[in-house]
Amino acid sequence: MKRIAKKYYLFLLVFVFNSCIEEIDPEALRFDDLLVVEALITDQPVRQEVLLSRTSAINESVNKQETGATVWMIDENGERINFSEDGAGRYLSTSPYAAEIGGQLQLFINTSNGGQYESDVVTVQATSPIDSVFAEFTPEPLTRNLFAGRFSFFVDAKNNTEGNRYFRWKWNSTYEFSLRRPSRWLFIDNEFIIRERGSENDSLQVEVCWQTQEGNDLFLQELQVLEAGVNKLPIYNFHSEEGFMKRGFSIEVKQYGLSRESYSFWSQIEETSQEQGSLADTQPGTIVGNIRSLNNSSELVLGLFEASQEVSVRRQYDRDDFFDDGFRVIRANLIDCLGVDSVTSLKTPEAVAATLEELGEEWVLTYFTDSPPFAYYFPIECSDCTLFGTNQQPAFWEED
Amino acid sequence: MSFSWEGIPLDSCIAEIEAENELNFYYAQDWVDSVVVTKSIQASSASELIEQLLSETGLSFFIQESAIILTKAPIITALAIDERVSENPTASFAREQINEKGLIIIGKRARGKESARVSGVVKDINGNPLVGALVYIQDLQLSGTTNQRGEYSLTVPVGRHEIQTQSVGFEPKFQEAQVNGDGKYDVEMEVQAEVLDEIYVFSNADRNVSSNITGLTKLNLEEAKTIPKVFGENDIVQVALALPGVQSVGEGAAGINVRGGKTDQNLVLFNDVTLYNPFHFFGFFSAFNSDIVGGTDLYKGSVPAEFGGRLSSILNVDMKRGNSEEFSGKLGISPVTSKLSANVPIIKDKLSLVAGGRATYSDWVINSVSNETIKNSDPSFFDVAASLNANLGEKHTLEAFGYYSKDDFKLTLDSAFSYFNFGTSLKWFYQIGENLSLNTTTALSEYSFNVENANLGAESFEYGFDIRDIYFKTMLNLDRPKNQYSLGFDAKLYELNPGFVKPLGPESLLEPETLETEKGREFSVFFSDNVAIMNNLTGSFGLRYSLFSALGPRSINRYESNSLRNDASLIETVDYTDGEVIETFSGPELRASLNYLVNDGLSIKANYTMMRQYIHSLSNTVSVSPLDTWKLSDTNFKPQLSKQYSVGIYKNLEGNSIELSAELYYKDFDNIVDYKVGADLVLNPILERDIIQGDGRARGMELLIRKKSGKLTGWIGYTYSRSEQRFVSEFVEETINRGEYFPSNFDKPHDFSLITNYKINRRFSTSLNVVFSSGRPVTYPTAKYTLSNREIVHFGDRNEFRIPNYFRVDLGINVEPSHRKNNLLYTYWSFSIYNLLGRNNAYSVFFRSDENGDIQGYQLSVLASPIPSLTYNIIF
Repeated sequence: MKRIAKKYYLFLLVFVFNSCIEEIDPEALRFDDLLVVEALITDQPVRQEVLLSRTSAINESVNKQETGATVWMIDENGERINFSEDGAGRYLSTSPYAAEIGGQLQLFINTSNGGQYESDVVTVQATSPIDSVFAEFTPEPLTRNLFAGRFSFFVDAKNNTEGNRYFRWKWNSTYEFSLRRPSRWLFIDNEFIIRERGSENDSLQVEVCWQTQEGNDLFLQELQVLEAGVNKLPIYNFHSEEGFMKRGFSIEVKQYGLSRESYSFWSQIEETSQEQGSLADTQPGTIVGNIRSLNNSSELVLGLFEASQEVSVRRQYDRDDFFDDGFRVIRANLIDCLGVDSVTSLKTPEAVAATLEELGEEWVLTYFTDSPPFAYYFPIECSDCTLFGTNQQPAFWEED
Repeated sequence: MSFSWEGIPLDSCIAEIEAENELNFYYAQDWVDSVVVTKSIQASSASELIEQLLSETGLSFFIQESAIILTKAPIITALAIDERVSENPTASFAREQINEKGLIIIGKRARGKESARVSGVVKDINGNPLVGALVYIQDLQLSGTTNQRGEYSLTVPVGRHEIQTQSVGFEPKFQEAQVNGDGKYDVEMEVQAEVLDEIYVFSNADRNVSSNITGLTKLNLEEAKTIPKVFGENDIVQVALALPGVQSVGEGAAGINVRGGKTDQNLVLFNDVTLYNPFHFFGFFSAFNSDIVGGTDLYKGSVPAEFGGRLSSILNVDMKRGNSEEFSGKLGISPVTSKLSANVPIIKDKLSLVAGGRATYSDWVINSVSNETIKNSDPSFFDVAASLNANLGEKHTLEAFGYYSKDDFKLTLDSAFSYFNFGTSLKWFYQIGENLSLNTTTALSEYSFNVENANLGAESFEYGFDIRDIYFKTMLNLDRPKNQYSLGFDAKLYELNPGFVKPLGPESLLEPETLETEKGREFSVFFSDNVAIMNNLTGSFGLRYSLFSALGPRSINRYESNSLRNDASLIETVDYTDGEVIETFSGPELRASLNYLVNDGLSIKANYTMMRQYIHSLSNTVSVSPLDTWKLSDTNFKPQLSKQYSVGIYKNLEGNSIELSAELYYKDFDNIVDYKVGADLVLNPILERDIIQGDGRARGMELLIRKKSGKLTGWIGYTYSRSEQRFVSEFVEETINRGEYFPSNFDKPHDFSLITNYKINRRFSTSLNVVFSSGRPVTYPTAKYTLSNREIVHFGDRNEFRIPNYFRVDLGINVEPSHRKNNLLYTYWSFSIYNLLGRNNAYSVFFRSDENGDIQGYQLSVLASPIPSLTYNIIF
């Protein structure tokens, strides 16, 4: 039996180690250099945006933009809406343009290398009003914070007056945050400049900042019963420990109507974005949009040109809105810097200059005391909120 | 001439005739010793004279040249004649004649009788009846096949014929026979004295130039010793794969693709039990323990009307027949498994048992291995099969069969996977009359798999699937001189649970979910006639009419026709009660083939086969995955249909020792299954929205040259074949590659195999095999891009690329047992090296993100270095 055991052992070694995975050179593979179009024209009177980029090889990590293209749109009245490039690959309509709901738009692109492209004629889809965007707090206590919990944001669009079937939502959120040891002084050219909040140099303040994120989830919905609309569609959630609700949180939800083609396109994008590499990998396939090449019918163009009414709702919350739900803020700052020691020097320009020089960019001058006349320095992440966001209050932000 | 005798010994009468007519009589002295003749004979010919002389003596005769050979009616075996001759040293001429031809007499002469019925039993040397042996008379295009009891019968014209008998794995037997009247001719077949290291291809085997079936391959395991063995197992599926027209997507891949068909288009029957997953160990081994497998037929072209239900092939495996006279057994040890089988006679001539089991080495071996990787994958399997044979009197045979197999392994560290096949069947054979017999079978089959993962905390789950069927078939066979008729029906009831998920362990918070049970009923009637149309032209015509009903209880979504299935096009959801018919599909399946025998060694065949399939496997992966489930046709899932046209030309050379064949086929598929991009097949209650059905076409040319005897044996096979699919729809989601034809996953245009065996001496032989095939098609990512803040991988056209070509060389050494029959125990072993050159043949090419988020391509080779294995067998 021992011999058999040995043999089996050998076999298994063979079995396990014979399977071999080698890296192969993807450069040997064909690279499809294709134009990618992303455009969602809305009924909002703004400069409409068309993004043009190119595919990159799968082993590259560069984003290539399609620059120097001529982009225009023809609407249902035969009117031509021109776009001009505003930043690489970003084309904005030369003047604000609000698409007519139910109108017909067609996109044309001439690339700098002579490629001519056009989209299908798309109808500007109507959407229904958003009834509400609302938040819920669910306690999820932690040992270190019994008031912790999860914030969830939902959208209701029950009033489906237009009778749309396919919907898509986009969202973005902004939260306000502060740091524990905000820097009140700048030291530039041997001079001390105040940058306290509310001072004459408010634009330099680094005490309160705002961080914005764009949701990249695809929220698609196909309505079973047209009149029913959507009910409590979960849009986003986060845990209180992430710190987004310490001072204030604003979420904007935009709702669009989709044509069946757009819906199907985004559904496929959603499904194929799932992780590959499991035992039951799905058979991959090409996702075809609605733009084609006029020069070469076999040239594939990726992406989608679509147009829709846009309705949006912005809601801003602060921590007190969830007081009744049991939420409390224990530490008010995004980063508390507890136990972080400051560095101290004399409050003279020479000493400060020398100290900053010595400490390097990871530290900033934070504040002074007059008696004794010392200057205090903290690590930048405790003192400068622009490390994580912008110090310019967004226009939509509502002060308490 | 006239003679008159009065109380004269027959011996003397014969002497008198011999003297006058220059004839020589041959006979056993003791036959004539006591016979006294009192007769007056007037005859115009020698035969008339002798006929009258021998009347009422119990003796018959036949004339060969100038020799008159007396026989004891109704049967004289060839052996008896030999004895008679050897006692007569003067009859040297006649002895040669008889030894060469081995002439026998069948039946008694009777005036006016023009045809006679020859029947008998074909057995092996141990007295086991051989099922499916072919008894035929080439000149007359007459043939019969032995039944479950090894019995056959033929109606032949009175006269001299050469009766040939063939059975897979046995020496063909040629017998010159004088058929005078109804009689018996029993045949004892010897195991091919030299193991020819081959599989016997019926479709183009020597005399079966005269068989009218194209694309039937009789697979023979016993003789398949030179077929490449991965881990020392002789495997029926490996044998099949070495032949033209049968492919798989890669080595170790479960599932075979026959003539451009998908893996679920093969019906695998083990003693009439349907095996839904006939593979072990990821697909490295088939479900069949080679030591207990008897006759195996793979129908890839012409399919008899009695079979149906799958589009591409029928793999019909029979377990070995029991031998009720002698105990025997076999023990085999190979690197992965050990197996034991035994034949146990219980009641002599009445009852016998054959049983066999096979298992991977026990867990303690694995547990004693310190390597964690090995411990954690922990693959194991076993299978057991048993068959009990009972001869109930002259006319009835019963065979009870059971099979169970189980596989266990881990997909990932924590995820345990297991599946089992269970089946049982009872076959009853009833010889109603001389020409009429009845075959009846009932069978039960079950397959189930289960995946568990207990280490996912709140998401710990158990997921499973199962399917079972009950099968009944009965068939009447009637043999007429020029026709063989079969008439019967079969019925199959399916019940399957498409999937369930349950929480596992106390921590799991998973919501249990179960998809609705599916039920279905498949019913078919069939009729076939094998007919000798003319001297050189035979035909086989069959009609099968199948009817499938999807049954409740179930709820079915009904959608607007010609629209994409979604909520918008959903009209209603209909609830069906238990047993209520949801939808019925039916249709005829025509089968026809013709064989024109141009001359002795050359024939041309043509065939048309139509098949319908009502059960489909759901697999969105390239090879058969152990997680594939099955689905019955219903309102939203149309049955698949195929039509195959094939022609073949078969030529034998050098006294049938070299066979050449070329077959061409074209096949059309309707309603083959594929899935929308990103379809989810697991626990999807609205699966119909992810399914698309399209059509396919396959065509191919299969060339085979084989040498069957001599020191060097083997074959060269080359196949050029294409298999393509097309999914056209007005909806882009249901369209693949713009609705154009594209190669299927298993489209490997060039497939070449060279299988050789060189016999050094009686016991030692070496084999060398070379296998080449085109790489299979694959879909590669060709770019990536960003859309709506997401990185998206762009894939080129479906199956636009190919993985590298496959090439492999194997070497084998076989040491056969000595063929002395008196050995109580004998042993043989074989040593082989699979993939001698250690080539890294790609199984798949895939892409994944590395730690930097860059996408990197990888090639997986399953068996990337030479794999030696040693197999040791003991027969007792």
